[in-house]
Amino acid sequence: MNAIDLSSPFRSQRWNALWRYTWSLLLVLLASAISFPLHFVIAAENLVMLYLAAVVLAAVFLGRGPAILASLLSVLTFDFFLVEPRLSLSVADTQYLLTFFGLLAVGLVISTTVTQLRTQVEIVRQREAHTAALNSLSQDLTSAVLLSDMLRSVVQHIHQSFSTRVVVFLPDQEGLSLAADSSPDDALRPVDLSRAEDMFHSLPGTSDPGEPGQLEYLPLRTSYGLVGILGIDPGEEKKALVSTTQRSLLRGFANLAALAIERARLAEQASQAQVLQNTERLQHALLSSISHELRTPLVSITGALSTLLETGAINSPDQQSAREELVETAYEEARHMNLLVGNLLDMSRLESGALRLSLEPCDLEDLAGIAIARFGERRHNRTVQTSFAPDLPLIEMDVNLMVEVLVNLLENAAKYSPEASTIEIACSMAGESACIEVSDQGPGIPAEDLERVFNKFYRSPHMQHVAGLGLGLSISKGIVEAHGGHIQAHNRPAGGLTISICLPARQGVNGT
Amino acid sequence: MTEDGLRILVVDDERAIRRFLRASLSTHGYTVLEAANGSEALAITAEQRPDIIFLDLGLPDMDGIQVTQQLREWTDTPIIILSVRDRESDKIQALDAGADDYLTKPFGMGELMARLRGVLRRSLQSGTGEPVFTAGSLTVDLACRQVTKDGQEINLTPTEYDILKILVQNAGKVLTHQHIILKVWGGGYAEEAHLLRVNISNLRRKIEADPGRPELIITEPGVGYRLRIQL
Repeated sequence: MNAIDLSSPFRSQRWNALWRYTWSLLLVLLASAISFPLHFVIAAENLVMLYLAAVVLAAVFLGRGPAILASLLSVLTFDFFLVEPRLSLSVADTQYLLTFFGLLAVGLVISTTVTQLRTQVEIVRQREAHTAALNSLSQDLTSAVLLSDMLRSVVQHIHQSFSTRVVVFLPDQEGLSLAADSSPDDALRPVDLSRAEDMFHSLPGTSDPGEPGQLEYLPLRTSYGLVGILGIDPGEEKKALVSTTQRSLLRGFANLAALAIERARLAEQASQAQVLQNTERLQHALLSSISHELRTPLVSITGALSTLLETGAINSPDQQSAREELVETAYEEARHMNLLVGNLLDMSRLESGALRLSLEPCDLEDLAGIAIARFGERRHNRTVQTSFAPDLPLIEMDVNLMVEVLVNLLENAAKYSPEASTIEIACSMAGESACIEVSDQGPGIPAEDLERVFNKFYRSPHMQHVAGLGLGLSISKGIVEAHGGHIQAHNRPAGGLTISICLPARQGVNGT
Repeated sequence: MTEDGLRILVVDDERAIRRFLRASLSTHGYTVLEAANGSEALAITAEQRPDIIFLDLGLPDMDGIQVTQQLREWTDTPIIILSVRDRESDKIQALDAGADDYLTKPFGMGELMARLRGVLRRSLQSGTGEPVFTAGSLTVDLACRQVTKDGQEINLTPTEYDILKILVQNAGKVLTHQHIILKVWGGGYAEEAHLLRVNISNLRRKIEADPGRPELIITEPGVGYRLRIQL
């Protein structure tokens, strides 16, 4: 981009000027060299035309100064070599002053016109270059999706065109922050955030030229208002931004950037609205599922208790067993409800980050014992078989929460396994981790569901006939991960599902 | 039953819970007094001298822990906390304030009656000291330092015996880890916390029928241990 080639060293320009004047001198010498032998045949007055040619050439190709030099030298050499008395400047009559002024006028007129023309051509060429630069940025912005990509191409393009540092500030929750920087390592000029912030909040008309040695700030504005601030390093003595065409190019860049930022913002808002809608849908599903899950046990409880209340119905001794069954049902269902409420509470604690672990060393055998007692083998008509590797260390954990995890896993295993089957709990060490495996003799789950069973409210489509909220495993996962462990599910080769938990075994003090 | 006619003060701001406890406890032959808040509880305890207090923690006028502390300034009437608060720190705080036991709502009546009998038994025998404790097949003779299971003498290490002795002396009551550590080792925490777990595990291997499903030494997760009575 030669139009904005600002970095050409001053010295080369000076050298260039010297060269042009030398060329102008050579042109006059050439004209003299041709006309001297000719003046024997052609009248000296006509040979002026040769000098005129030299002046014209100088004016066209070398500029105004060399043209003036050429006219002056032409008159002098013409007078010196071709006018009587030759080889002297002693001209009695001043008629050749007219020739001199003629030559000078031609030189000036032509050189001025040519300079103007050349400037115009230069401007057109610059405009073309600017349009190309804007076009290329515009294309990049169209293909970019992420705001960060857009900002990166904005600063890159401006940096390419101006060879200087470019930054973009965008508003966020706390005010304004640096969103993109073409040369983050440049420590030469301080990025003055407070000045950009002042500008952003006071909404001044145009740009802020700033103090010397600081970045210059421009507002990024769309029809809806200010969307950000563009900062550019004006360079030494503002060389980078000196011409109006460069300013207009910068404004063009700024407009494109503002539009791109606004587009990204609007897209973001649209996707947020989508998320919100999804959340609402999820909450609705959650609410209906929870009320269904809580109401189902209530139906049994209310039914059983109201039957018992109508004492006449079941008061005879022979209906003792019916009465006991009603009471047992009500008690079981109430227990189930309590478990559900506990799970919901845990879920909300996990979600809100209010879950705090109170760690204590725990014997895995003790842990399993508490969980089995709370699970109730007889109640579920399942036998729990335990096995422990020898010399298991004590594991640091929140015992209450880990008991909840195990109870959830046992309840799950009971839910999906045949009556009177065995559930196994096996504890062992795997490297630096203690692993607890809970396995059932149920049907297992399809391989594609092995990951998803830990998602909140996920219920396998194959298991819709079994009641549940789909909370137990996701809570277990949350609790295990809060301990720095992990949980996974896999199908056993012989059938059934195994959920394995691995907890980090921080080797503490070992007792004797 | 020797406990017949005992007076129980139920402190709870929920009418439904007072009503259900009154109904259940009356069938067991207890007299039930009721208080709906902390100040009422303090007044009734002073005037009517109940034999045992069931106390809720979330009372409208003051916290149950505060009520416990104020009661403990002048009376040793046994207090059982009945609360929905299930965090270990709440339980430990209540026990440290002087409560005799802690039961999380919702609870089964069987569990409540077991705790009630445990607390009563301790308060009735306090002072006299019962030298021989029996639970199921286990017999602990504190006078002779002798522990037998199914008539067979069991060898315990001195630490194991010390732990068992404290549990027996407080049979039925939950003892916090810190309390046991203080009584057995005289203080400390980190190392003793591990030692306590390991000793309990070893003790279970010696006195429990199935150490994986302990029926004598019950773990109260995050709080401590309890020696179960009334097998």
